[in-house]
Amino acid sequence: MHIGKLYWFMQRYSAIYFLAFIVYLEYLFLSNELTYTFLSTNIYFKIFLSIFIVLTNIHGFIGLWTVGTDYLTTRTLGFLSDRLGGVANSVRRLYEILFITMGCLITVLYFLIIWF
Amino acid sequence: MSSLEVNLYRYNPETDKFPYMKTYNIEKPSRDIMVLDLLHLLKEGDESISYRRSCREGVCGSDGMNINGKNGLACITPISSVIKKNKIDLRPLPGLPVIRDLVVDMSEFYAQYEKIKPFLQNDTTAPEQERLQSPADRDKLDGLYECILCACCSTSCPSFWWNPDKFVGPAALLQAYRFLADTRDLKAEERLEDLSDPFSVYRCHGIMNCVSVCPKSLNPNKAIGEIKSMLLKNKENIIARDGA
Repeated sequence: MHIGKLYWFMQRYSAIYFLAFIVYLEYLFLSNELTYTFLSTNIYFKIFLSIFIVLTNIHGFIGLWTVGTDYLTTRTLGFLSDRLGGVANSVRRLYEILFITMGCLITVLYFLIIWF
Repeated sequence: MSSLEVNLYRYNPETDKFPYMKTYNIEKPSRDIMVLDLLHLLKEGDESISYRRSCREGVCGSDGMNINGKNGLACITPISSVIKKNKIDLRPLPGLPVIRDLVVDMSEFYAQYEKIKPFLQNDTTAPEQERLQSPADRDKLDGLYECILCACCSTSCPSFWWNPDKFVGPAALLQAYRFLADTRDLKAEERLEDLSDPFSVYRCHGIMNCVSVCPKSLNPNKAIGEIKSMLLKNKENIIARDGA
């Protein structure tokens, strides 16, 4: 599958999952099932939540990558100053490394909380 | 007779370090005239004003410019439709390098147009007279072939402003779909392959500025949606359509 198509599908499918998961959470909340015991013991909920975390990261990655390739380029940063425009690609790489690292850390942290 | 304030973007790279807005106060014409006629009036008083124009009837697409914040063709835009508080601001098309005053360098725009191979591709032996289409197939091209490449749409698109070298832009994508929708063209698969990266088509987020400004009332956003649908469909469907 082409990367453009993959990104497009991932954005849409993850958004559909988010909606379904929020509806599920609402259901749990309204039916008074959303308790600590339920959250910490129900294996299905843990799996759904883990998928939610992974998809949030993927969704966020695509969104932030898009923002970076729009606004952190030689052209756009060059509007601010020639010097900044000259190092725009490095600035964008740094920004990408930063949000990928943050995404990985958040995922690991949440997985530790959910599963251990 | 009341006067009209025209704020004109001025820039001459030979004499000006930076572009600036120059205000001209002229007598408001007694009848409704087009923005292009207004520019002619200004040029009578200041011959250094530069802008492109040719057919002066909305066919050639030369005089695309930003009129009071919205792109349009000066020759078919009546001043009555754009005057706000007796003022008109005229700027070059946004996002493209300015050569002088309202004249912009359209190289990036044309490079994207060239990229989509805007010509019919058919390897089969040409018939004696012409490649015929059914009236229904011909109807699919309505709303696509009428584009005059004035660049009003592409230069109103933020995605094109940020990535004019990667995002094809609404004007060229409208033309891309014009050939994808043409039953006589047999290179749909290759055309789609060329558009499959994350930038060429997918950078369109459907904000519809292109539809809002098109002086020919075309709908590039719809065409882009059709291209996305074709890209997301199975390859086999495209091949089946081409009869390959």
